[in-house]
Amino acid sequence: MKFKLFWKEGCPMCPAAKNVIHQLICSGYQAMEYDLETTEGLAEAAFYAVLSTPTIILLDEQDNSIAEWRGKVPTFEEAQAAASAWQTAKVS
Amino acid sequence: MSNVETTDMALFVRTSEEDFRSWDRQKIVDALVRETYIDEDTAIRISKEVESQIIASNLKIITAPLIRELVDAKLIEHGLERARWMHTRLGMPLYDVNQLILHPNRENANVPHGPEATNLTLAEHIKKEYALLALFSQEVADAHLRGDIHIHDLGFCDRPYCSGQSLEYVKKFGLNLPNALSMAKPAKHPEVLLAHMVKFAAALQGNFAGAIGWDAVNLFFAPYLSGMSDREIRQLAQIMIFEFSQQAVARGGQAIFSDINIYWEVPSHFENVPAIGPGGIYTGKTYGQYLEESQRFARALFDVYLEGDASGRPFFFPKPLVHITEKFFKTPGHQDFLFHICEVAAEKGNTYFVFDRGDTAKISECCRLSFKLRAEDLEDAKEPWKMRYCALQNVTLNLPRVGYEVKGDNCRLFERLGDLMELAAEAHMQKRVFIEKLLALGESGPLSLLTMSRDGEPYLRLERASHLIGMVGLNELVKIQTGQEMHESKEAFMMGLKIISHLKLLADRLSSKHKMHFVLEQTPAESTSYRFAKLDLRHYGSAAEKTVQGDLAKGEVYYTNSTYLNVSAPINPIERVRQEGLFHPLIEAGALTHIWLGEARPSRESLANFVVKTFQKTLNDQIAFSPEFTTCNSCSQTARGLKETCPYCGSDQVDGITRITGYFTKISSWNKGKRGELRDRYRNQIYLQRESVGNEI
Repeated sequence: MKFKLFWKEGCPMCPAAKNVIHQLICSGYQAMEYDLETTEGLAEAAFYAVLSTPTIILLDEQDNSIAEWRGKVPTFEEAQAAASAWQTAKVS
Repeated sequence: MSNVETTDMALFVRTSEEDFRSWDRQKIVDALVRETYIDEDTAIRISKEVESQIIASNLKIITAPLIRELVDAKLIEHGLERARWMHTRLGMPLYDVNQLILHPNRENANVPHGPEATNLTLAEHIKKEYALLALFSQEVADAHLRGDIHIHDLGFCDRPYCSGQSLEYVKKFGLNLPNALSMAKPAKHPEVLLAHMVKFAAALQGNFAGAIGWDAVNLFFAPYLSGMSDREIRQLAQIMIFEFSQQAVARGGQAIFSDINIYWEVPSHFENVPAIGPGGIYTGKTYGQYLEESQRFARALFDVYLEGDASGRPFFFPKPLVHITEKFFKTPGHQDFLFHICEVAAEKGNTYFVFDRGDTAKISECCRLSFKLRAEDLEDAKEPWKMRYCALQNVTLNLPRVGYEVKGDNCRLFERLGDLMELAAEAHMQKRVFIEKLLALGESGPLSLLTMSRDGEPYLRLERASHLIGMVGLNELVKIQTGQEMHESKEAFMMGLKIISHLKLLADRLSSKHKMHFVLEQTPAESTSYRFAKLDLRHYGSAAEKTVQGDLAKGEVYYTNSTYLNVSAPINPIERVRQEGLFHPLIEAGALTHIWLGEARPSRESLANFVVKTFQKTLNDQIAFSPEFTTCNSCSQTARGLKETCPYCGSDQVDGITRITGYFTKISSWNKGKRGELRDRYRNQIYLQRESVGNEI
């Protein structure tokens, strides 16, 4: 399970999204950041059909989407809750 | 013999001015001094040497072109290469002209075979040579000749590429064209407006290399349709379609490559715009109040498309592009209209479904080109006659060749792509300088129509022009780099996305750097993918043999066009639409996914479901369904599918019809590469016959 953040320079809500991602990393979650001004970042964004920034996508081990926040920023608690819900569902 | 003066001999020159003249050595000197930089003494020396050579040959009559060739040979002997280049002659060998007159040209399937077409091809040939010698730098011209890039429509180098038009211009200003023999006031009747539209399109065809697209045609006709019966509206729709599809009498016998953009709803940006009616006078209503007339006309147009021509064949032009938007689904009657246009798609294939999601608005035309409307364009919508756009030129990159050069090295791959993008930008800047020079000549210049300023600014709004950069063979480049084609693994697909993302970012950077609008487009590549494949087989031998698609033995070779997945891959069409659609947001100037129907005849409900799902669940920009037909030249009947003989009369005098790239044509006019691709196309007929197509997304 991992979070992917797609951001862009000059996007007003992106710093807040980065903060959430950094908190998730500090809490032990795996997370990656993709800058849409780079080739790698734009290609990854294209693959996940990202059209607005910031976008955060939570993926399972097979890269299937579990939760998505497109053009908006979840709170740390919301993101963590989505991850926990999926883990709980997986165990049960 | 060398002491004999030619003036003493009976030597005559056949000149290009259709007469015989006595030999006059001074004419060589004059030409060299006039056309090149060499000094008069050198010119005299060369003229004397050429004269001696002619004396020695004992000729009685010599042609002016031969004299020029002998002079050019002397210039080379003297190391005067630059002067030779300046003095060169453009033209064609007799043998080639003979071939051309006798045999059809297959570079563009929209050019028929006939004297007008021959004129067009001959003129194109000379202008192509001119462009490569005089318009573009040697670096750019050589890159084109080698096949690193392809500069499209070189034979039309003295005009812009494609254009998007507004009918409002004709409605407001009438038909008042520079150099025209007569001037028409704004039309008072719908039939006259239609006549103005068709004639204006023909005039524009003489000033643009490619497509002439018209925005919101049904809506802009609407104020003329008030009070007309369904029968009368249907008649008008029929005239429009036949007029455009039978216009094979204009440039080079070519039908006008025409597109009509159609909306079921009134687009938001036109909703509150005052409507122009008969006589170019405002009706006192807004376009939002003409929804009913606009819809009746849209429906009537598709009634005509459904019927086809006199023998039931699909109309090749004008191409109808229906915009599917959020508002479409909120507009009453959309379900019935969607079924109607899907029925046309299933029966005849005409309908193009253009998806404008969110706030996106665009004018679509050509094979897939679109002009996305930016904030300033939407501001222009308040005065819609201002909404005229053009793409100045199209330059396509040969992607597989980059693969042969870098041999799997990804660092070099991205560096080399950067070089090619710079080269494409350079080609665009050189063309732009040339076009600006022609436009500067104003209404007395060759592009007078584009400089007319009936609304206070030139018809061609150069500051809004886009400069297209296309690509061919992404799939094959990925195969060279990763060992797999894009549909074969996620890694290969991601490599494809990385390459196009890189090109997109480079295009953005070049736009900022040069203050020009460079955008990626899926090149139609009707002949380019064949040309690149042939050139690469010649220059890259076995590497290319392992890579090109098609039938090597028959020479029917091609590269997969633009960002498409392999056309022969057995992928269900909705998955193809989804996967190919992931590239579309990166390709600002237009992208399209083809769904090859073959003989399948899906129900209108199935296709409607497919279209709705494509809109809601994918990022795909545009889709078109392509059936195949056999038309009989003996009994004039048309049957479904590609057959060897006519199923009605048994004649073998038949022609296949289907989409070559972004338009329908007869297969007999296709080049070998496209024929190879046709053989490979995966039709997936069983899938398309199901009732639930598209539900998997």
